[in-house]
Amino acid sequence: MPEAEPQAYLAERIRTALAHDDRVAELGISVSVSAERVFLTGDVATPERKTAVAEVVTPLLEGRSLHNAVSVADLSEPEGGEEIP
Amino acid sequence: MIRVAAVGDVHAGLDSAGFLRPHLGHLRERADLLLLAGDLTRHGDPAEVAVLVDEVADVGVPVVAVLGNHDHHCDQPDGIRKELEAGGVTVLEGEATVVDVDGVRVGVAGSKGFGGGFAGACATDFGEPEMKAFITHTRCLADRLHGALASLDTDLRVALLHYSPVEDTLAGERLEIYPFLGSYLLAEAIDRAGADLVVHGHAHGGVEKGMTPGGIHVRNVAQPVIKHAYHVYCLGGPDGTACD
Repeated sequence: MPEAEPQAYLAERIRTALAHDDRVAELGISVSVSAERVFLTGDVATPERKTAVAEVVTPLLEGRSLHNAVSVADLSEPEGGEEIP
Repeated sequence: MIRVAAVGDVHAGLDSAGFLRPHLGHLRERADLLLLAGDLTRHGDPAEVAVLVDEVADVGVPVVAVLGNHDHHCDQPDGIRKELEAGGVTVLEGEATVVDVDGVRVGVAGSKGFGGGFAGACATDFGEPEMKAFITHTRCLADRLHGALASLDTDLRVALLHYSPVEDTLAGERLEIYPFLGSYLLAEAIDRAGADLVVHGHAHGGVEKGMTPGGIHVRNVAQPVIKHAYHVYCLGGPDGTACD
């Protein structure tokens, strides 16, 4: 009976999918895989892209639950500037 | 005092129309120019550039950009550049431009830059052709950046990059990926030519502030790092102008 695939390979397959799917195209999302869940952190530019992250990853979960803790960019104006000496 | 606004890694896509422009409404009052430090698009589709151009059109200050790795993904960097330039954005790759701000001449030299790592733990152009090509690309861009900076006879000089020239601003990123985040060759080129400020993007998990080995201030303006639409850096010493 074949052993289960090491979790590290699944994590990289998810990272690769997030990089190559045009709806996301993001290299900076951190993927943590355990026997029960897949946990995602990082940043994307829009709420639509956070939704797309879940859509890309869901078919790859192999029975695990998805915890999508990816943040959407905060584009507020800055408080002040910095004087460079 | 010259006020330089900068942001990188805005990753404009067809889903992000209107995402940035509302936050640039006061830019004209707060800055004299806007630098875009690469990864302007989600994956390098020229159609995505139209979204970005609409966001920065008519902001009231000159806009200068370099491309990032995302802007190369569709293998159409020339198309990306053409769309940006048609939209009034100056694009630099081993080149320089001069912005006149009320008689003060600000030179900006720009390059995407590339990876390879940092002194003591970097790749060397040795062995397989692929390894030589990797480092040769970085070295070529660093040489051209040096030439562009050295050509500037201006009151102030800014180096604009996508990849990082220093390790300082990568703190928080995993050490294993440092060679994919930047190269000391870029810092070496900047230190040899001299500059008043370096800005870069690319390192989403890094920190904002660093310095080259030669003592030039480096700022990582990747949007996930600065967590604002832009940050403003004031150069040239106090003259009564507010740096806010």
